[in-house]
Amino acid sequence: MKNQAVRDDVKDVEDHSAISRRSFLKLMSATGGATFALAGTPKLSIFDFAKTAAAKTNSKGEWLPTTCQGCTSWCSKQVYVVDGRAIKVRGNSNSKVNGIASCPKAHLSLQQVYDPDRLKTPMKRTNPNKGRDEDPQFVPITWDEALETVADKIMELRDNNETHKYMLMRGRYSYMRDIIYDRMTKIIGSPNNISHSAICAEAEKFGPYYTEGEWTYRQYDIENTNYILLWGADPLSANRQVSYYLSAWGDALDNAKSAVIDPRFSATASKSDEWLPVKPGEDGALAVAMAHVILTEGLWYKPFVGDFVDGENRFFANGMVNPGTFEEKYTSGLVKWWNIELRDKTPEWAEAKTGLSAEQIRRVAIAFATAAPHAISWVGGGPVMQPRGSYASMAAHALNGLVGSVDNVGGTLKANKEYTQSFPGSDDFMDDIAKEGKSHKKIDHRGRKEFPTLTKGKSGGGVVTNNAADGIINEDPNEIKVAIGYMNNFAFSAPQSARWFEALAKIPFLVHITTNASEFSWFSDIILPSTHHMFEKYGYVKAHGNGYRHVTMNLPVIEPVWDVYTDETEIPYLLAGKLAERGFTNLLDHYQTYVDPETGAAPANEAEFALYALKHATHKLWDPAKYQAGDKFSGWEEFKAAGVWNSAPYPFKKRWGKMKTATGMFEFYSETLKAALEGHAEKHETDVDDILETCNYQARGEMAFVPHYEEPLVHGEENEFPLTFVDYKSRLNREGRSANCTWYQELRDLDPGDEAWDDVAKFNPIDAKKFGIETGDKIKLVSTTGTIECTAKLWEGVRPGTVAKAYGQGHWAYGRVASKEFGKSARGGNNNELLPADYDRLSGSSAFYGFARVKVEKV
Amino acid sequence: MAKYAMVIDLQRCTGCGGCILACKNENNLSEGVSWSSKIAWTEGTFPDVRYTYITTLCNHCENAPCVKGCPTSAMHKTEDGVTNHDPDKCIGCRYCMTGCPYGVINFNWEDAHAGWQEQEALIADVTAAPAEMVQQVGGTSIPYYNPALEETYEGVRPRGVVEKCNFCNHRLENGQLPYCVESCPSNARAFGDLDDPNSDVSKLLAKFRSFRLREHLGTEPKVFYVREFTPGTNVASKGGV
Amino acid sequence: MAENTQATRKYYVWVSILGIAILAGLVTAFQVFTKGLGIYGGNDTLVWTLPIAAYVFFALTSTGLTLVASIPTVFGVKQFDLVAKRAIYLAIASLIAAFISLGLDLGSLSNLIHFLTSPNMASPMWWMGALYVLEVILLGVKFWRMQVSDLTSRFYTVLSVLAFLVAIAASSTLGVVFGSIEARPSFFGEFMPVYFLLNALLSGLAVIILSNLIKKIDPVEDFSNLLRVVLGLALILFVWRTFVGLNANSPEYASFKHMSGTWLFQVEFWLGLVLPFLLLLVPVFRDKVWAKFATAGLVLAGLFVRGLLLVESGLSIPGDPRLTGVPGIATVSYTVWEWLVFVFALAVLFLLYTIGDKYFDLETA
Repeated sequence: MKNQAVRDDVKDVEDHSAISRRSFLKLMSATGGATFALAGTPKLSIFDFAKTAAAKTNSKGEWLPTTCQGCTSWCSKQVYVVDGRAIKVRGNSNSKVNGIASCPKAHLSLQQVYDPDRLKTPMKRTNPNKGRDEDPQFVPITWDEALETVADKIMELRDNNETHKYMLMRGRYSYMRDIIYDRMTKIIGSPNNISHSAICAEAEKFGPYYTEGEWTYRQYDIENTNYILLWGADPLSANRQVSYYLSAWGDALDNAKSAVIDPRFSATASKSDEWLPVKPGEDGALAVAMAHVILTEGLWYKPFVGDFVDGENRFFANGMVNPGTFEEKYTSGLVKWWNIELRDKTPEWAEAKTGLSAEQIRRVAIAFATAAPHAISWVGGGPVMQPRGSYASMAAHALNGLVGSVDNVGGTLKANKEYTQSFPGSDDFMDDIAKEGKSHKKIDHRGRKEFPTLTKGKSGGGVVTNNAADGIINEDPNEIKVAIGYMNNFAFSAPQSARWFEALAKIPFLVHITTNASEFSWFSDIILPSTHHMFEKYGYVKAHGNGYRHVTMNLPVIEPVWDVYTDETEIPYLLAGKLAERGFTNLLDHYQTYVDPETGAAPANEAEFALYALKHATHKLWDPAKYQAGDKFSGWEEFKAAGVWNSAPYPFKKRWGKMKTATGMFEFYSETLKAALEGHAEKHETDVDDILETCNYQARGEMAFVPHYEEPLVHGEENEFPLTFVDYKSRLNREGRSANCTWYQELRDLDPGDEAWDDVAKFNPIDAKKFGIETGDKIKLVSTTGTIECTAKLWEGVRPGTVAKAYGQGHWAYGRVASKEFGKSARGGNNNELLPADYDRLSGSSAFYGFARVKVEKV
Repeated sequence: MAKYAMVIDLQRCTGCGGCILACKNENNLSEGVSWSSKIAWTEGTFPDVRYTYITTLCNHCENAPCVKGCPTSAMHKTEDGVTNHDPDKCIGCRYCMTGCPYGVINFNWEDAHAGWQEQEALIADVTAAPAEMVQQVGGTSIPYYNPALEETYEGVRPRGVVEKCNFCNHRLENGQLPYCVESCPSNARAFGDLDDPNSDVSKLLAKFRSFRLREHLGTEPKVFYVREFTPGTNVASKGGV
Repeated sequence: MAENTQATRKYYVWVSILGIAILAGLVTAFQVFTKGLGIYGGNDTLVWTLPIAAYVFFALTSTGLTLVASIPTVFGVKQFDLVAKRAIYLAIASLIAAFISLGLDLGSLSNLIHFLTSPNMASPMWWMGALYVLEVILLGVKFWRMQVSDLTSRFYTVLSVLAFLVAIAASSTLGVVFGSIEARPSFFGEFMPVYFLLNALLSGLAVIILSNLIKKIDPVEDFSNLLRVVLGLALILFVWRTFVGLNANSPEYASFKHMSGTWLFQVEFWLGLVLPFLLLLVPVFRDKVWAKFATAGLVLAGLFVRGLLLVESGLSIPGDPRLTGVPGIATVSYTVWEWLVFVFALAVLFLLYTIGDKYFDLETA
């Protein structure tokens, strides 16, 4: 079924082994301009260097560009291919985002693509009973049998006019996603395309959106900043632009102080001036107290925020301020914010909440604001992926507004503009069955009164990924009969995973597209083996960092190791073919509109389809006739050889006064959120206070529209569950997919405090003494909803009263290394089996941090 | 002839372990073997905690105890000052390991990449046995086998001999930097000739006060460390009684 | 006649036991040569374990026996003449046992040729190997001269003196193998060669006493007197070594301190040194045969334990002590294979002795 010609298409890429002159010069400046001394040729000039490197590189191999999606940094990479084997990985020097820098976990991709436990062929379960303890008894089947079975099941839904009972679950994706996620679901006729976004970090985007109108992850100009204040973010370990930040961090510290707010002593904390081990869930208190200090000390950045008309600071603790006395410049609602929330939020008040000394809070706030406007308040997942986390997200991000670092040099930036285009529309290919099916409500309950999910200001605008399990279990709004999941593993990656065990077992026909037989596969009927995203797939992603945005392509740099197809393109195309054979041609007809932009030819097979789709999406980047901005290419071939397109440099301060908020300003009083909340309340014929009460928030009245402190909503009583669980991500996590790599296990101790080949829960010695725990003890952690087993470790880097453990281990499937015994027992424990399913309902995000209490028992 | 040395800038080092992984990758190292490794420890009492990470590798000592001790000169110095090892001469007595002050020599207790020789598949007929995967891909020992080593060294070292960092001998021969230096995402490593005053390493050592591991032993390591892993500022205080 | 039959049966049982032990040893050797040293409990921190301790034990025993055998020729103490030939024979057997232990601890036996083709004269390890090989040759020749009753020729005297000197050189070089490890101060220094020499003498004396007791030959008394002196010296050195080690501040001594905290250390001290010394000291026990047996047996067992603990005392922490994570000290757990190496070597020693006892006249030269 392969089309050799297309596969070969990427093989003739020119040799990129030479470090390009541009990147070499960049390297030079990074090392102080000194000449590199090389083996045997110590006096080489820089140009000789480039020449030598090119000439001497192993002639047997070549560096081919592609993209790593091990985490959501989405770095552009080059893979060294020898005789069709991928043997090394490095950063793609053509990228202005990551350059040659390549994080440690990128290397693990080699052990992923060549994982012996990868699926060679489609398989089906022969045990009709589904459950955690039911061995599926998988047997291999042909692609034809597999796809025909899937097609038959979909046709059955269509024949019965119940296409809304079809569901597509998306995990990690490239931007080819819409082919399978959006278009296929729509044309089949279902509203139920459920993405993983809400178990990612949607709450991180909430603060920036409702202050500055940008629903994106930020980039941080650390090379020009003087202060980096990190809220639960650990960019030297995980997300986002890890490679770039690894490359720039050490030198950034020449200019900048840094402070890390995290109950756990993180990798980034290990290089910081200050560690603020805040009590879990109390970050909001710290943020508003810092804002309080900045205002009372008169340290806000006046060219951005404005000033009192007479220049006299009227922000005194507990005092109200007359809004008329303050003239704002590019912000809106500062005095309202003060009067509603900040005036009594002194460091002394915060001391009791956060467990940090008022002195430290004041010191850090002053140091941070003194660095204005080159001061970064960096909001990570920790403080915000919590019930009520939306307001912490706003509060911590609002500090950037106070110091004028938004959109500023040395500050916090949005994504640069890029020019990819969407795939052809599906409307013309949706028949009446599809339209009727699509009109049903979604399985995740987004937009319901209790799930506002105000993505980009729209009620129900986002997904409530983890709630889909409850939707499926309760058949609310309807049952799901046929479901496909791809590059996802909700049975492992979503909190209170046991609900997913139940939900997935309940779906009569479940299909999983995956590289490895994972926990999700365990409940599936048909498993379709997928290409590895980094080595065997056409796709593209967009990412930003270092003041640039790049569009970098996933390219098939090797032949697929086994008889596997690509999840987002080839498999839907092949499935469309099978549906067409069964008389339903709409999907294939639609896919036939993805023509090669160069020749106008329609795809003749799945491989051509994947390539044409990619060429179409990136058309404006590589076609000189359609050039917009950024890197310019002579055509597809040159773009493909480079592997990546870079945007124009960041346009600093261009958004000051022109933000996409209701006021156009940076909103300390969010008119934007007010409109969104009121819209949602109106939809449910109630008021905002009722919505907030329904959604478990404490704010009432005007408080709902300003960044403010909300007490943490915690599962479990302190007397029964004495410790708060602190989850974090290992620096070698390729999301949840690297535990089957021996390199992962061997080097798990790269995370401060962790141990190789183990999964340790870290206790402060004070607590350990209290509970009679010693390092090395086998223990059980028990929450209100789950129990996991792991190993205890005493470590000073955790706050007393908390227990910290990395996410990543605890696979009971996936492979021989990841699990202790495949299908039966796990290596370590999966944090998600411990965490209850709860939500930051305004953003729809699943809660991961600071909200689950646990107790410890010795095994 | 050169006097090769490495300078590691601890401030730039982020403790990410990229060097360790890159080295394992480049040199086809078996599970459990790390030519590039680390010393990492946590000090202090909550909340005043410090974590220190020092990346380690063979120090290529001028006065190398491993070279002095090796009965068959399998461990030897090259004219460029690199401590190299010849597996063909190694009898596997491990005396070098007892003599190495830095614990950076590994012994092959079993066949290289033994895990990849396994014949059992996870799911019969659906997944591959590790040996089958190696065969399918056409690698030697491992699917991602790097043949470049064979130019100057054994692609994988046999059971029963020691092995350790050789500054990527096969790359030096080709005018390339050691792979850990090239692949360090944090640009923390510089490599070059100490005899050349214009080399990066010479300049770095002129600029910064450096230290080497267990210097008092007089081994004269060729791996130097400059600056602090945690640079930090100092809040003015006279302490108290 | 009946007695004779019983003796023959005992003999066959004994040889069968040795045969089984040697068979187990050959299986072990096969495992070592097909799977590698991973079947032992060692790792990249604790690189040497039981087989090296066994090697040290047998090598020093051989040296000790050579020293004992040299007393008549070299020092002219004629009453020791009676044991010289047996001592030399046992020294050869011990050295073969030592080579078996060492051979089964070398990763690449096939590369041994490079001892000759690529010698490193700066390496104590090389000298140790060379000297012990030379020693086994000298002992062989000496035994041959004894066998042909050439005890008065100049050649024999030179041979004896040479064997004596090389034995001292070999065992003290073995001490230097440890003593020159500068990075591990619990090994480092000139203490080790002296200590090794003393321990060699201790084991040589103990073996001779045992064999004399078994063969019901005097002069046990003289050897006991000598043993008392040497054991006293060993006790003193042991105590001071322990004192220094426990009071040392260098982090490198962590492994020594850990070693001295184990129960085996107590065994080594009380049962391997103090008790035999008391048995030799207290007049009540001096003449008791069981006490003499016990003394020699305890000394030898103590020496074996000393070898184990000596290796552990320097190697149970990594080269750089800061590498110690949790649990910090590499703890020893010897595998069955390691014990079988010792059993193998011991069985070969016994078998050789049994053969020698049967076919060579070991009492008279």
